[in-house]
Amino acid sequence: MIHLKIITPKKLVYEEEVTAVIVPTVAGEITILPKHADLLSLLKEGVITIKKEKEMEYLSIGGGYLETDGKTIHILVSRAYGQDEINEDRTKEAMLRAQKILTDTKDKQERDEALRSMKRSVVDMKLLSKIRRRKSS
Amino acid sequence: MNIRTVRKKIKSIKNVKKITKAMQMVSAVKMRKAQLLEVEGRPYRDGLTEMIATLSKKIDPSFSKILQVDTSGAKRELLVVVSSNKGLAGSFNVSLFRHLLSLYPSFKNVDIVTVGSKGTQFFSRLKDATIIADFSGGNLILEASALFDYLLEQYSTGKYTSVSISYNQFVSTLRSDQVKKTLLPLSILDEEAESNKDKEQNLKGFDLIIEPSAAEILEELLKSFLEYTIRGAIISSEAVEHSMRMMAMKSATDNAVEIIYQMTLLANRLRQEKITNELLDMITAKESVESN
Repeated sequence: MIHLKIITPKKLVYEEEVTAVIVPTVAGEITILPKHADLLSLLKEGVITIKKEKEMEYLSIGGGYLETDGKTIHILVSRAYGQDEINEDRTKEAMLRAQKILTDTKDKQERDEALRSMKRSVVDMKLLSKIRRRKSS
Repeated sequence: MNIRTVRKKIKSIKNVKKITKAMQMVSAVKMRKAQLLEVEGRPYRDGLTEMIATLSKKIDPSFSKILQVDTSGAKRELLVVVSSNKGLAGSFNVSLFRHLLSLYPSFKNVDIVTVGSKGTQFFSRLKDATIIADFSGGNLILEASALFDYLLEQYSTGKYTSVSISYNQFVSTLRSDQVKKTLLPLSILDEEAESNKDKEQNLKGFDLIIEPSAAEILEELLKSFLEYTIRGAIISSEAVEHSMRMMAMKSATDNAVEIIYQMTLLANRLRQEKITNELLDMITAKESVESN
């Protein structure tokens, strides 16, 4: 078992003993198991998979950092949402809105904003499809 | 004072009381939210500090571009002042400005960046102060990342010896401290290095894998750290603002209650005086009629 802590600027999202964690780093997806070598890594947007005994949990995260010493994992990310906090309709809506801004507006700041929101939505959608796949199988 | 003006005054003070009471309750809600944000944001900032400490032991921190800025030709200082957009918050803004005035005998060599329009107003009235930018949009917390980009850009021109931020630090609902923190050049590394000296000895043979590369991750970490220091300062200042406003409104409401009490006494006394006078008039009139 390994102690996992996920922290965002808003709050401590997750703190529990888990068996394995799969995270998206800049260099690719990695799995961290207990007794992992000391590691400090840069995370990118994506889905974190947490394995606990037989259960699986998913969190969609923004970019951030990961630190582990084999006994504890600290994950600092800009945002993290669990599967219960993501609403499929709202995510789709946000995606459409961002798309519209990207096609209509020329203002750079607004476009950047929309692009970011788009990226977030894509990650959220990925998470939703992951959950669905598990349910059907 | 006659009785009618006193009654009018009581009525108007009652209205004032209603307003201050409402403002107090609104501030109380906002205060709870802001305090929660302040408290819950702490683990993240602590986590970042910890990571930087771990990393700075492994590699030479002067790798980072932020730390390589040449400031030898710089003479001026950059100061960020976090105040509020709205007034009626007791001594919230005043005590911060007083603190700054005592720190700086003159603002000649200081360029000021204001966050919050009260600060802008104050410094634009000072003769020797120069405001170079104003980040007082509606929601101050949302300005944090724009402010961070701006500060970094200004600092990397090499014009400034240091960049610091001054704000009201939240301690508890009843207490706050006026502080000035130096953002750049980064001082965290030295402090951390010292406090970690004993620990370091225990960590011999400690081997850390760093992906993608130490320099890259350090750069990102330092930037995040700075950004969250700025954000933390604004959040903290906001928590203080709402607490202070709530306290100010509470004492205003208390004062109104006190004045209403005094005024009611006065009104009653005047009313009794009037009745006594009327009775006296009637009695003297009756007496004079009877004696004739």
